[in-house]
Amino acid sequence: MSAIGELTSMAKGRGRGGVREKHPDNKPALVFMAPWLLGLLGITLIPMIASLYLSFTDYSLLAAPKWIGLQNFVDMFHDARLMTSLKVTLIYVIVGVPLQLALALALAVLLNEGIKGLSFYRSIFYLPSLLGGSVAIAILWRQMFGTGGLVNQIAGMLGFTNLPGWISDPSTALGTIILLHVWTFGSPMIIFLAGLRQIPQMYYEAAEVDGAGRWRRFTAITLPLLTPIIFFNLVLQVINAFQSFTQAFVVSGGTGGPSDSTLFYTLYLYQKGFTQFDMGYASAMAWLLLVIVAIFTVINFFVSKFWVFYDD
Amino acid sequence: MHTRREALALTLAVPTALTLAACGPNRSSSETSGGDGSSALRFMWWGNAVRDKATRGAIDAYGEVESDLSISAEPADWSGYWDKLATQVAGGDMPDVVQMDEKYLSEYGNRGALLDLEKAGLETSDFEDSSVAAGEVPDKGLLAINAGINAPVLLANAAVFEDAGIDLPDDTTWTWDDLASLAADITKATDDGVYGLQQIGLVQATFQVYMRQLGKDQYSADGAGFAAEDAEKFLAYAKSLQETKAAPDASVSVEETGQSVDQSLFATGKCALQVAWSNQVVAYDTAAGGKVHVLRMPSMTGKAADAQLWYKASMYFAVSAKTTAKEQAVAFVDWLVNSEDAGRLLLAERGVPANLTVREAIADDLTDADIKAVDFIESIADELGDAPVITPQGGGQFEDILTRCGEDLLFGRTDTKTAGKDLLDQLTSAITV
Repeated sequence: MSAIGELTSMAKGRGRGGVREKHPDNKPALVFMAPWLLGLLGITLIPMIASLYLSFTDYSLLAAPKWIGLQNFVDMFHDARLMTSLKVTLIYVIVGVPLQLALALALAVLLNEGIKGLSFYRSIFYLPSLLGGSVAIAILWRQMFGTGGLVNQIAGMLGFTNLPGWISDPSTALGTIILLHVWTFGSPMIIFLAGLRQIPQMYYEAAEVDGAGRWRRFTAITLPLLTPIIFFNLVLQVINAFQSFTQAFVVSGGTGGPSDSTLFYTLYLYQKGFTQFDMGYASAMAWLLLVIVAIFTVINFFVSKFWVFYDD
Repeated sequence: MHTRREALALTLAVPTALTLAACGPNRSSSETSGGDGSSALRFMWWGNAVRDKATRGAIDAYGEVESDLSISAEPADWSGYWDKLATQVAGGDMPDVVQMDEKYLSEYGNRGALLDLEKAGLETSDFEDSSVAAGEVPDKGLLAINAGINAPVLLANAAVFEDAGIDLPDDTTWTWDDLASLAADITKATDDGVYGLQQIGLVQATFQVYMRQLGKDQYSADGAGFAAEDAEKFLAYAKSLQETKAAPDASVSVEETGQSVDQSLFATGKCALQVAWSNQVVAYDTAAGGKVHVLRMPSMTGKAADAQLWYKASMYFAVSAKTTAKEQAVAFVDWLVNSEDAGRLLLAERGVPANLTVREAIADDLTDADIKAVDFIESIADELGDAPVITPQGGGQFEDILTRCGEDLLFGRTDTKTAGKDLLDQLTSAITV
């Protein structure tokens, strides 16, 4: 939710770019920042540096790490499962993120029409985002999409028989997890809603006077003015999707099965580090993931020049 | 409205995945040291509700033997146990006494994480000889002590046999072909959704039995103990079970691999035969309402003596090499495996006690289900094959590899020849460190 707070304060033009006053007494600020700062150091920065070091070692967890230079990175090129995991993750990102954003945008536009009980619907639609990453929902998913699960029972009543176990068939398992991801459209939706509120009403009024229809107003006003928000959501969701772990871990019972069809990159990384006693390799994989995510983000920013419209 | 700079700033809140690989030891919630004077031990095991209760009971009872020692119990689930143990070892925070599995014994032992119990003076004179050897790692010594013996079994749910109107087989003469046709008959004679046999092609124990009957084994002293053709034969058998509907289709079989005992097809009366380890008889028998019969695995020749079964240590107790309370830890393990009092509390839940004195002493305390397991272990005593070599480093991955290759085959993504070769190749690369 902090992103939204940030966004609103940003949109209102407060808190940024003002006069930089010199405050000689920064101590209270540091004290208030301490919990976050300690977290950043202890849970993010120091482990990151440690993992950078470990990525150049042969480290089994059980014995001291041994420096092996670039060997881990060289090994990655011959690792068939690593390639599988990259493929799975890329499909997940490239299919899942646009679908999720499209759904989020569609619902945000609908909710922005000024319907009654907006806050109620907003909460309802946001709910999956709170739950979606949780273990409980992943287990529920597993039950629902099993061979004898709810989905197949309902389909059976409608006359469809001989359906697969969606989770346990390699050709549908990944699709089921993508569906779970799409379902958690709540947080981009809220951000879209906030963005929609920022679009001045007068543009629409003027367009209406000129005789623009609903669709025209959407494509000519809403979409262009919303592009910075779409872009923001896109970058964030791509990064998030690359790091997805819980769903795949729980749904496949930690195996990435059936037949490695849900072997997410992070899941393989976890297997390498914690069940195959190869933390050095896992650390190297983590850094490769950082590079991949960085490349995607850079591409995103580069391409954004051609489609994102900044009103400044 | 929004500027480039702001959008950029927002996206810098990124790389949490990095910390996944580097997170520190999984600190346990329980206290580690009593501190002043009185010493404390930490004991971690994986298990189930029954084992947790019995083990806590044993810890309490030990409080009367050694009153100024406090032992903190750290039970865990199998699935989380190994992650937790590995991170604790990495953080220098390994519990003093741990439960160990054969799959990971050399993984930990060869890296110096475990104490040589023989040197530390653990008493093993009442043990069956082979059961002590099962805890020895070559060149390292006795790194773990057998906590109970088990053997691979085929469980039969008598209720499903009755429904099908089919008699239980004679397990001293049956062959793999008999098993396949019997299972197919049961599937045919029962309702839709009830099967003769679980897909045993995805089960490590079956694989090992099958290899041993081919004159091979899962491992030899130099690595994998079988050839690609051997694996191919086994996988072809598994595939044929699916084709004749003796076993469920691939999708159902995959779901079954992650299932808990009471949710399993077997315990819910939807499957007549299931592979298990003998120490699981109690759990399955309870879940299936006491209708479980314990059968020998079939053989290639139809002679029980050729079934090549073996006594496996169902699990071990081991002591951390870095424990600060070595004497107390070894004394506690000594009491767990040698004392009749401990035996009466722990019974046969971790497998049939390898300590013969204890086994005799607890005979009267066993439940009906326990007795089924104990009787089985004793009845195969004269039919055993050679003891298998200990799982090498990296061998802990075998089950995952078998599952993967098996799934590829059962879903028709590969043929038996490729699946057999993949199985051998992947295992070989896993154990070549």
